[in-house]
Amino acid sequence: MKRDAIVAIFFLLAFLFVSYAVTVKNVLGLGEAELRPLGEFYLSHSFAHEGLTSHSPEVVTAIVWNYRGFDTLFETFVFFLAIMGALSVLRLTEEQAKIVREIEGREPHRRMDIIVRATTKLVVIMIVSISASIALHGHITPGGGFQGGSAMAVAALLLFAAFSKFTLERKGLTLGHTMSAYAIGLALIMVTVLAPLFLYGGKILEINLLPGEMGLFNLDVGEYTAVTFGFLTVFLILGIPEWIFKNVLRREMND
Amino acid sequence: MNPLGRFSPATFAVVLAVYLFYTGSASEYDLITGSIVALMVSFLVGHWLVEDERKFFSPRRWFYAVTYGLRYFLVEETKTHIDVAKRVFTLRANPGIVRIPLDVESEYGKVLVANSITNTPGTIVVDISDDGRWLYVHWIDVSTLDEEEVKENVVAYFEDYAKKMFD
Repeated sequence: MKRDAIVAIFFLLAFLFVSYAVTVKNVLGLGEAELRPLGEFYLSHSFAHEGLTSHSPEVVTAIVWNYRGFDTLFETFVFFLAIMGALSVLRLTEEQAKIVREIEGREPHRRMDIIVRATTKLVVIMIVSISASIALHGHITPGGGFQGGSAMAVAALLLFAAFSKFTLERKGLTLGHTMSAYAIGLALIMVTVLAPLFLYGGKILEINLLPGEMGLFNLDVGEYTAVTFGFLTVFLILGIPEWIFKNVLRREMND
Repeated sequence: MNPLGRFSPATFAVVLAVYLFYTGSASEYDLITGSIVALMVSFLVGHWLVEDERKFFSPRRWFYAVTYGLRYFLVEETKTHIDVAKRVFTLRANPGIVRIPLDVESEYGKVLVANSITNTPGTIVVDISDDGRWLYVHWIDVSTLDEEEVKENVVAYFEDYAKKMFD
């Protein structure tokens, strides 16, 4: 315990010292370093809203979508594959799902005390609002769909902990619904990505052809929905206690 | 239930305020997207967050909330911080867990009292009874076991304000 504290304080001091030396005292000489040609290219071309650009008013997002848009697109697909993998490994047939619901229904419904619940209510509402802000404001300030969706996933986890997974499922947050919402998010991304190809005769992901900042906005909203409900889907599956899972699967084996 | 009955103006206000505060700008775009998000959330959760809308929009309750905030954070926090700092150096402590009755009716009132107690140094709420009538508080200096005196020392004026704000 005492050693932990000493180590923590040592790291904190070391961090403060290094950051002070590098930023204020300019030990490494980063302050005078000239902008490299690549950096200059990015800065001068990101805001030039002509040619192949995502029309982003903010340079980080401009680089993300102008130069590595395909990367971001395929990240979405990797995430999609991961969720599909989880779903197929931990899948249950309809009968098994029914048995799981029955066993879960017999479990005593525990929830945390009134203080935690009331605070969680307020915090969850605030997290939802902030995550929406991160996602919808993502093309102007740092942020974006994935970051917003991840923040939203925290809200869901808080609800799981303070209330219970069963409460949420009774309120309508079932696997079927989250999967549908996830599919809607993905569909929005696909439509936005393919729209330039079919409507404007451009290339895939050439979102500068869409009017204004609509392309970026659509991608942000789509990614936000997809990530939020993708995470929720995984949480709902993983939220089934392992012994119930094993019980159900073993029963199938014995029959 | 009619669809308009589900709409909660208080939730709308909270969500929109947090949205604009976090975004840090109030341009047309932010107002529109924020309102859409707030509308969706307030229809989705209904009266889950705020049960009585009239209470939320009552200026009297907001006035008490601001007075309480100022009095609590400026006066009470300073007093208890000094008290605990003294105890750290003199090692005068007589810790124990006491039970305190709660009179405030509403859920948020109870939470306000409990969190206020936890937030002041020297006292921590360890548990609340299932019916919400009793608080179990770890107190750094159990000077008395008389229920009324304990309450006067630990809860102080928190509950009066909680009643005015939430009941």
